[in-house]
Amino acid sequence: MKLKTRDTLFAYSLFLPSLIIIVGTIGYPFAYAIWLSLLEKPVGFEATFVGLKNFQELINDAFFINSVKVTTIYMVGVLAGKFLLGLGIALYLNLKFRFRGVLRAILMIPWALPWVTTALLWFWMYNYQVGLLNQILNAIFGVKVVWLGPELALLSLILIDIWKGTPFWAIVTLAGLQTIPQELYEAASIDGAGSWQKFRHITLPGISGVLSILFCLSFVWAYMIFTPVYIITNGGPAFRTQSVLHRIYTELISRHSFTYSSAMAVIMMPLFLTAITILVILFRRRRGIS
Amino acid sequence: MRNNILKNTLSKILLVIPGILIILWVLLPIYWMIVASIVPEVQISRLHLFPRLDQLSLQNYIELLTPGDIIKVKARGIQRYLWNSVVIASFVTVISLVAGSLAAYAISRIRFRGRDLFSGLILFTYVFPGTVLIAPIYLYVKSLGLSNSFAGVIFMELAGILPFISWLLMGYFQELPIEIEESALVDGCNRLQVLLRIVLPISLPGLVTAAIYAFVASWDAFIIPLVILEERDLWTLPIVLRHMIYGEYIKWGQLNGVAVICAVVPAVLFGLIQKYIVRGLAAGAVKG
Repeated sequence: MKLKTRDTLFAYSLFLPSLIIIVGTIGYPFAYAIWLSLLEKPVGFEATFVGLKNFQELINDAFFINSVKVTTIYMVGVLAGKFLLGLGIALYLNLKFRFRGVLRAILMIPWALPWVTTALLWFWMYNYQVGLLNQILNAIFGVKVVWLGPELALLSLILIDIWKGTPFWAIVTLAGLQTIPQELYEAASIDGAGSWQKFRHITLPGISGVLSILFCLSFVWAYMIFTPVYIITNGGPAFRTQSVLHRIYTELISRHSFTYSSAMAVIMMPLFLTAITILVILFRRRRGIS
Repeated sequence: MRNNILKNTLSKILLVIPGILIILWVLLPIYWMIVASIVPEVQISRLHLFPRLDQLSLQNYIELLTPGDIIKVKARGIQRYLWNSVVIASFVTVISLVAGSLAAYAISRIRFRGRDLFSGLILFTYVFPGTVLIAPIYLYVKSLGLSNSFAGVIFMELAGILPFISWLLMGYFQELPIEIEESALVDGCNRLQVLLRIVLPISLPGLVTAAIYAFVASWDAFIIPLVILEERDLWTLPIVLRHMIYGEYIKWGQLNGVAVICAVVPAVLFGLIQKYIVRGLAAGAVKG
């Protein structure tokens, strides 16, 4: 009993530094955001409590609604792309052939690059005059594409995230594929199952665990996208690529409206918290943390 | 017989094609960035996929290292900002590694009340998108008197990185055999001795891996230093890169040079731990 108390005390003291940092860097700003979102503070005036006024304004704010729409399209595009391409590459890397290890190592390079480098190198790829994409298109088809113009800019950003995020997705999916016992496929073959049936009834259920984790993680990451937007398009042209976080940042920097900017963060929370709660449940089931 | 050989070659070719496409997809953009960084600025508007060898030069890198160049943001030379990034990332790494390994050890090895709550807290904060709280963070850091200071950036970057490192190490500690620790406890060592003399030394590969992840995550941090560091001399590399874009005239050669410099450190560090990466990713514990 005495030993147990001592252990508990020791455990708490080990956890204390982390707890202080977590409360100080996440807990406090989170609570502060909720408090700020209920205030109004015009520049040069005292802050006043206004209740839910900021939120009422938010749901009628065309700029904010636009940023939510843009980010939702972005999220759907990125998740669909990473899922399809990641699954394809994982199935391919699961085949047995030479240089598979080398290919896997090369595939990891975009994942290992910093976001700023990724953003800049695609900014350069998309360059209208000199960019490699237009040079190739021009050489083969004699056309040039305005990658960062109003029609294509959002798609161009989505393609960057797919380029950077698919390696992680593919490698994790591959790890999921490798946990499926080979005997299942053999037994299915004996029973006369075709490749589609095997894929549908053995492969997909076998990787559904890792896939749901990947979807939740990528969901949160896609909704908080900022660096490539800020570096490449700065939200433009005409707000067509303005993500939620870019909107929050713009509101903060250009108008110094801390209260309104906080309200935007708070209104997004239910979405994030739902995704994170699902993730925590999925992870715990997987790792077996009681 | 002949038909069979034909079929075999055909299927081999079909197998190779996706691999080639993947390699091109991954490497062409990176190649294009590197090429642009080693071609003089005056020739960049006529750059082709295969530049002539006599076109290549290190002029862009030399200009980046020279203080007082025409682009106003790098009046100090790029090495200054490289150093800022290194300092911030080093502090973030050390703090998150110390605090994270202690917390991870407590959760993965000691049974105590509230353990589930703590492990849940780590996991929750690991995925939590703290950067959306940028407005309260700005005011908060200001009220602490830490605007325009590395301390403010280091502190706020810990929000995302510390839980991530703790989560990574929790997984690592749980895989270690518990027998050695148990026999040491029976022999009369206390928990602290077990942690310092047994667990940490045998976890060295895991600690190195975690340290590299922490360093790279801080190296790539963008919105936190962007908001906290307004003074030019304190900027980190990503912030400098961003400010070089919105000058009156983009110098693509230098800009690609900065992007390459940004990428070198993570590339080298990840190269060192390459064989651990795939395993870590497979555990589903890694931030992408």
